[in-house]
Amino acid sequence: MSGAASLEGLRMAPRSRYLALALTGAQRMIAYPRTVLLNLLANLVWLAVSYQLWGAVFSSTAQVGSFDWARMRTYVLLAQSLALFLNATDSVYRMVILVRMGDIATELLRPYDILRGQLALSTGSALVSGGLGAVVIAAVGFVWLDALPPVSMGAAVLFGVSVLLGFLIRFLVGFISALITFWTMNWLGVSWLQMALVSILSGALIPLELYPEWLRSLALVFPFHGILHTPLAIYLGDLQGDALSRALAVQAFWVVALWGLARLMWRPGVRALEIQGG
Amino acid sequence: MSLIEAQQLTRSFRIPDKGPGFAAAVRHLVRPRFMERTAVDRIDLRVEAGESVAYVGPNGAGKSTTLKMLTGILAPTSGQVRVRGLDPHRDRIANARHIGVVFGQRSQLWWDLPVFESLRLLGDIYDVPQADFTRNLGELSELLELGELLRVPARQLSLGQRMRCEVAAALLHGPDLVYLDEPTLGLDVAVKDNVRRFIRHINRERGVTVMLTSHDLGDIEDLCERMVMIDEGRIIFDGPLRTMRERFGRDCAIHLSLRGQLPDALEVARKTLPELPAACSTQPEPHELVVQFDMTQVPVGPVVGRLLAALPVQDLRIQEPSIESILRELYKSRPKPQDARP
Repeated sequence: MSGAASLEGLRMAPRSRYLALALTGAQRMIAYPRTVLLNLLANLVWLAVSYQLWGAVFSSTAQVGSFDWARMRTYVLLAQSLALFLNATDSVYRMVILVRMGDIATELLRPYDILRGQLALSTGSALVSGGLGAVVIAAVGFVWLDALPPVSMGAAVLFGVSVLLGFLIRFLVGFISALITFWTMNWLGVSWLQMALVSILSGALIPLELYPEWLRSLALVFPFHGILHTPLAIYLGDLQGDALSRALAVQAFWVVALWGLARLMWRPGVRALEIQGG
Repeated sequence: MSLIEAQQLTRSFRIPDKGPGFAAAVRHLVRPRFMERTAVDRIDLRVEAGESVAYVGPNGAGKSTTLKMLTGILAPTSGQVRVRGLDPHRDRIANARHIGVVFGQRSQLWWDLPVFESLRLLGDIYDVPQADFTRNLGELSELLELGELLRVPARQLSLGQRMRCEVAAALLHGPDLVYLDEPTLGLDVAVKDNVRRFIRHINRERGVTVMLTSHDLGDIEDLCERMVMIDEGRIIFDGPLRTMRERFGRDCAIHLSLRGQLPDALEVARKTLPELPAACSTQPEPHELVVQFDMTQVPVGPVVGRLLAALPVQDLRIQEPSIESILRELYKSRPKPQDARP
């Protein structure tokens, strides 16, 4: 038959299923370059707005809490570039759409673990959209905005580790929110709530250091601060020595705890799930 | 042990019982009330390896809900189901390795990827060894005439093209049990024929067990030897297609076109066939005569012979009962579950 020859070489060798899913996640992102660019643009706008706002604040004062202008613009820049990477997890939206349209059925028909599969997809798409965005924003930041470098080589490496842990926390928060919709079918409320919690309690909008004492203590009780606050504090040198190890341990704890929670919720969630449509 | 064993399988859904209007909506908020709707009601079902089973019933009868439970994506409310000895919901991943599923109205291809990329990813997800992958894909691509479609993103395929790719996607990993939910829905005759030929091939040649739901009676007559009929969540018939025909479709109709108009043809026919009740013969048009009777009671041949001798017949057509007409009758009459067991 004619197809046989042309089929050769289309698949050279089997891949591990989760690696294959991660590559697919990346590939799907690349299939929509305009989406990636628009996301990037949106984050650049946010960056410009926060930069101007904080610029205005620091034109009349030299210090806000523990921040001077150089540290603040570094913070804003990093928060925006990491947001691209972190939000590309979009685990909530992907899952929620699956549940709403009933396409979760198709996923459940496949012999893979949905939690790991979604993580693989998220990782792939985050590497494309987040990676590109981070490079561009970092370039803009260091060339034009005169951002500070990490306080030390060690801090730079641990910042990377902390970002990865933050990514896992962000993914799991999204995944667990999506699991809640297995019961409620109300995705809008759930996804807004988690978005608000993440924005406010992770330090994405305003550094946690600037919050009133009670709110900061509250934020530190929740897992959200591990998403952004911890890596940025490491980068800026606010966490060092024992405090730094403790902060990383807390992040790791939340990754394990949230992973366990997602696992615990999974089976009853699927039982409660009523597959929508036909 | 049978491949599929379901005992007293039941699934009910809770539906909010809201009256119309704003006041009712508020009332529902304060004290929500729910109705229980039983989609599948205590069904028993056994399917042996290698069988091809048509699972039919009117819309909303519980076909899809049953399939969802058999495939493991929906948990039963009560009763139990075993596929290859496994609980398909609890052992979802283990069960999923050996089954292939086509839900006619859902796509399992990744929308924005070329079909080939989807197939390759499925190959990886199902751990298909390279040699099997190449062989299976070659065979599927030939039988389903996929060819150049493999390079097209799924979203740009026509329905018929997509369905052929869906079938390929469901069978790439060589499952020995295949569930097909409306596999030919909306397809034109040529594509339908292609898909049917393929399903028949994997069932007859490779011994793949096929369970199929369809409203297309051609699918059923072409592909299945056994028919299970469900209505309002209960199985109302389970047996060979042949039995179904014998039991419910015994009436054959002989249509005669007469040479010229014969006002007394009806009377002649009734006299010629004294063993049939008079109501069996009708004359819808002055030059047309229809004789309907139970072909298991009265042999068709002699009846035709005597009619031909007694009347000036121009043309003659014998209509055997089709599954379609049987089903139409059954859907209308809704037999009780207990009297429909073979």
